[in-house]
Amino acid sequence: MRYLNKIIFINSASIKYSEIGIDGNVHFIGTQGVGKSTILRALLFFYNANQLRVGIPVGKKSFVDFYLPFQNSYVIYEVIRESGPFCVLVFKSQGRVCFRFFDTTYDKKYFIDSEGKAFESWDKTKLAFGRDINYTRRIDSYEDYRNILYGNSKGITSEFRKYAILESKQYQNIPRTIQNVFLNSKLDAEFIKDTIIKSLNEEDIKIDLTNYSHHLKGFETQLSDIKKWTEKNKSGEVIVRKQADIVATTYSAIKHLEREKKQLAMQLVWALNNIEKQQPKIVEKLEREESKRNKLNEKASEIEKTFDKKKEKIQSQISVFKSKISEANAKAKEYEQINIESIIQRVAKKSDLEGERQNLLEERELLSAKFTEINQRYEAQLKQIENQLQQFENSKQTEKLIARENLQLFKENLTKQYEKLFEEIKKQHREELQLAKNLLEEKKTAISNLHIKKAEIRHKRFYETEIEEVKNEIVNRNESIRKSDNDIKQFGEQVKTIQKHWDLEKVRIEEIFENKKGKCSEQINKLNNEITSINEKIENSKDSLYGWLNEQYPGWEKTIGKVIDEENILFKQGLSPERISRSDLSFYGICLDLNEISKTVKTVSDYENDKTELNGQIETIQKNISELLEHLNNDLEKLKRKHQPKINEIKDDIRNSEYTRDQSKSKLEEAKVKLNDFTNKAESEKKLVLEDIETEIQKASEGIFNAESEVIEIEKSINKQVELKRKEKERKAEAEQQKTSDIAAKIDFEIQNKKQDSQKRTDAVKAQQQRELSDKGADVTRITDIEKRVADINYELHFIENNRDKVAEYNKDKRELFDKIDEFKSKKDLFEQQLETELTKHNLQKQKLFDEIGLLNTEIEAIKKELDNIGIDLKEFESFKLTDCYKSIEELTKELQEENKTDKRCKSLIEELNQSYYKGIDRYRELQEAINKFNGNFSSQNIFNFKTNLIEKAEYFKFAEDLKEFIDEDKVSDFERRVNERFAHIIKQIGKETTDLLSKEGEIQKVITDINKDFIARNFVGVIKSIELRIVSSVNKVVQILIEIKKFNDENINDLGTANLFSSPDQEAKNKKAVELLKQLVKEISDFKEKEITLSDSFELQFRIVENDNDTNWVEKLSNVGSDGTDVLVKAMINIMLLNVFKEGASKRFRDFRLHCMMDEIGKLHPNNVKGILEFANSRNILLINSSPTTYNATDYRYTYLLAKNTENVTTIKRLVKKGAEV
Amino acid sequence: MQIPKQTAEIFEILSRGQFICSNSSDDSVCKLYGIIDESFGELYDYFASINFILERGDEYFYFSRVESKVDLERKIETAFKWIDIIDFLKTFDSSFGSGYRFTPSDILVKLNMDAELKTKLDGLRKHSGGKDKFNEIIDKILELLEKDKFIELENEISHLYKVLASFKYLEQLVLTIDIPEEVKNEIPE
Repeated sequence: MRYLNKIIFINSASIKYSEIGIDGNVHFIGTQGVGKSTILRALLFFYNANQLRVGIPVGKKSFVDFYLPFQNSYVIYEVIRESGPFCVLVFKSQGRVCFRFFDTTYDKKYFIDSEGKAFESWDKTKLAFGRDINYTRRIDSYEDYRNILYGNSKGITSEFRKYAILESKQYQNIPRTIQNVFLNSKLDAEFIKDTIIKSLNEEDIKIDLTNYSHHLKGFETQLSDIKKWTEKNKSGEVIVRKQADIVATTYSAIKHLEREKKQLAMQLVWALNNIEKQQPKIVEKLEREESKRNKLNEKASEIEKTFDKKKEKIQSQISVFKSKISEANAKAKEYEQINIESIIQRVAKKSDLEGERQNLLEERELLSAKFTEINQRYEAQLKQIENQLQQFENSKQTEKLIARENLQLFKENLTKQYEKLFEEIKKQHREELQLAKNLLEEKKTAISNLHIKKAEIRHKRFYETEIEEVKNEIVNRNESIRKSDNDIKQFGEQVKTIQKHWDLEKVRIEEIFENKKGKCSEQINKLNNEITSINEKIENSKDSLYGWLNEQYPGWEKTIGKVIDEENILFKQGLSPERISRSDLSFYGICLDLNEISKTVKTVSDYENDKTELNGQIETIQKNISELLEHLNNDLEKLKRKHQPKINEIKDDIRNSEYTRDQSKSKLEEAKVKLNDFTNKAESEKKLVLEDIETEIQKASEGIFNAESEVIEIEKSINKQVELKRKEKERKAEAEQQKTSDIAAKIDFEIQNKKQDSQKRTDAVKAQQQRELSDKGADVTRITDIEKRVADINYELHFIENNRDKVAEYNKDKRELFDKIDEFKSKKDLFEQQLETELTKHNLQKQKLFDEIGLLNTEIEAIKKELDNIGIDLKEFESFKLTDCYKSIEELTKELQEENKTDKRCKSLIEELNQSYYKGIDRYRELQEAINKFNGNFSSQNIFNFKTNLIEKAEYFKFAEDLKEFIDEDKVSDFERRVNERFAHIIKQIGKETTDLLSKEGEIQKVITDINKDFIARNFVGVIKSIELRIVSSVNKVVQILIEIKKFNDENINDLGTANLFSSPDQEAKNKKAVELLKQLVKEISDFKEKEITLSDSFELQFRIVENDNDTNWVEKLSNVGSDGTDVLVKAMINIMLLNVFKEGASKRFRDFRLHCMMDEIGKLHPNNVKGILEFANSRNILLINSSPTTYNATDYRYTYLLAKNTENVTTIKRLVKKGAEV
Repeated sequence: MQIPKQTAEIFEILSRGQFICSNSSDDSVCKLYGIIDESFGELYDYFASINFILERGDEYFYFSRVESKVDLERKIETAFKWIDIIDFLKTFDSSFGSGYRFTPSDILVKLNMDAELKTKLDGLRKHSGGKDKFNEIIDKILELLEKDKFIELENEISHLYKVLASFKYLEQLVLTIDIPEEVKNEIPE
């Protein structure tokens, strides 16, 4: 039995020295202010070691100042213990209360010297202790002190363990209860509850809310974050997924653009390099072609020249023949006019006539030969006349000649004069004519140029490069579409193959698992069967022979047990065994030595053991199954990790291909439209240009016509003028001619007259001659006839003579002209034909040349264009170099790779680069927008750890990349699963902990029932009708929720965790409930002040005290009950009761101790009640220490001390009564 | 006509000229958005009968009303203010839009590097009610934006703001401004 035995004051609380025994009920008496309460407080201090809770009123001296005023002030408590007493020394050190324990009975000599003076230092006490007495170091913490005193072994070293009054970890309520009794504190259900709980178990059961609030932190947002991936809007779309898709698409577009840009950049490098290489070559080629063209041009002009010459020649020939023909015609006309035929005939008669004349002359001669003389005379006369005539004629002829000469001269002069005039006229118009001719020539060249151009255009293909490019593009795009399609198909196949592999492997693994699991389940079933049979046996054991034997026949195992059939007999019911009181150990009259049989019968505990073993086996197998399951999950996870990246990669490729395909398709469409455009444009443009040229040619032809007519006009005017002048000249010449003719005519007339004269004279002469002759007989008639005939002939001959030249001329003309006229004509035709042929030939040649030149021109033009393009390209590149776009690809332009060969021009490449650069910027902006929009759905503490504050481009890209991966690998489901598992786990955990918590309810109820019964049984106070406690369910919201969750967990213990919190439709309601509960829990936890839920939170305690007619009803707190006295009494009763409850429960290992309760001013109570309460306390191993001014019933106490003060205000304590016996 | 039970709540928000956005961090607002989204037709008719036109924007809802001519001038003044503010914010970051997150200090940092931004902020002084320091002007502007529910304070500790879907409304406002060709080259007064 341990208890506080004695308290010793040395120089403390106005007491010099006093030893007060308290090993029983104690009553302090004395007048007011002598120190009764002081002593009670000092006793309380032993139990609660709390300076502030010993009831010292505010404003009074503090504990340390009052109880330990001096260095040598001590309060010593002696505690009895089964192994001998120990003491607790309370002293002051550095102004603080300190403790020491020492392991011996109290002896005055340890602290007081021989002179009665208290030791001032520990050294002296130590010395006084000597060697054998153990003492502890100084303890300056109240907590440590209490731990030591109440035996809370946790946190104190073993040297202190022996100084314990009890052994409890949950002792805290003991000092508090004692304190409550002393201070008459109000009743608080909370405290009572706490006391009861602590008495139940040393370990306080509690639920750590911080744990849950930590795990449930952001629970709602996490949940809603995940839900966002499955929640559909009105139109059935999951907005977040759609937005994520946009991000992914935009990102792949950017990626694609990057790639495109890279490729373009590389191509640009190649193209630049190419054009730099090509440029000199092209220049050379241009020069070559140009020289070729020049040569052709020269050739053309040469041909023109030769042709002109030839043409001239032929034309001159033609004109020659023409003139000859016309001459012949003119002459023929002329000859016709003079009737050349008759002339010829007359001339042809010349010789005939001459012959006739000769004949006639001879005849005449013959006839006149005789008359010669006469004839001669007459002849002379005639001669003379003739001579005279001749002379006259001659003179006149000379005159005529002179006139004629003059005419000739005049004519010559006139001609000369007019020749000059003509020349002048021609000169006047020459320039004009030349101008006109030049113009004509120019026009002709222009038209020939136009013809060249036409030929050129006819050969030129418009938009050739563009069309070619577009065609190439179409081919390329088609190719890329085909390739992409192939790729997509192929990739799809690959994905399918991988998926199939995956599925196969999965099925295989799952089959293996199922097999193993099946085996395990079989085993479990088997074991379960065994357990059931054992259970049956145990169950039946009571009613069976076995039970009976156990009950009625100890030691049966050694006898009947060795021979009995366990299955059929031992556990069979209804055998109604009966013991026959025969003491010999016979077995149906046979005696066996059973020592030889080693069989042992299994007892119930053996069966229990077997069962436990079987259960253990089942557990092992179950563990195996769960291991297998884990293994399976791991394997599946591994599989996923093995195949998923591949699939992702391929899917990525598919997406790329799809993008390329789509892009190509749109580009293809574009190109087709472009091609169509270009073709149409080329055709229409060609047509237009040709038409233009045609009109130009027409215009030029008209111009030529105009020019020609002008030339002709000019020539005509010249001719006209010349003609005028010529006419004038002719008129003048005619006049002169007339004049001359007149003169000639006059002369001729004169000559004619003369001739007539002469003729007359001749005729006269002749007539005379005739007469004379006739006179002389001559045949005159004949002669006259002859003469007449001769004269005729002479005339005719004369005519012939005159016309003989003409005939000769005619003959010559005939020979040279008339006979050849057909030849001339044919020759002329020939030449004309030749000219025609030459012209066609020439034209053909010319056309050919023109065509050639045209071709060359087109080529040159093309080359020039190419050169121009190169120039433009280079210029374009130079300006491109300054752009941001170039800077972004500068890195890529370093290396040249032949594989980047391209037909595109630098310009278009740059355009495309720019396009993709700006597109890239646009896309990046779109990506930013899309990501921001997407991120807007999630808070910055989202469960997926999406970074919500993105700044750098790289961050955006990284985000997009991660998001893509997130979607591809369907990480949402991982999160879903994880969150699901976590919350299921939380719910289970809550269920478990709450169950634990609530499991104590029964025990608490029992304690309370006991207390209630006790009150009824031991109520010694008449006025108090009842004191009652009860448990009501907790009003703590957190606890309520926890209970709800527990219920939910109990109902759905198999559904959670495995099923899905978020998707499965039949679970919907349950999941919602679970979520709702957890949400509420989070809310309540945040509202709840404490960090944990203790057992005391799990229920509420109420009490009800009925005193006379006053019913407190069920309350949780009670400040007072009835009047002062009743109040003290009731509270004391309850507290003592509690102390007892606690005492019973708190120190489980060691219960053999006593405690004290202090009650001041006990005089308030009726002596009967004092006695009652003393008994009440004592019966619970609790001693009471009371104080009051006077004593009432001294026999109720073991000690009665009288306190008094002397004049020096020193308290003296005298023991008045001591009852011999202990309580 | 079955109208949702949150109609009063919706009306309270919208009638103050505020927006209900789908990406609000406030769960209740999100829920309201969902409710309006679901029963838009009914709500539209319902509010139309009390002369409020429920308008659907891109992920946000708001009320509009037939304007009297007298109010127009004041409205245009307000529009000017918003245009200036958008101009400033877009200069700050071209991707400033729905879902964008930022802190005032982000703007201040950028301000030190971007003279144009500084000029534009200077121009916003007139809307800031006599505030002089840059950070005060920014705070004032953010306050304006927040008051009309274009942005919201997502994190009070780090002062992180989130741009709401309703910001699109301001962007639309700018886009609907039609500048006729002949006025384009005029020098503004």
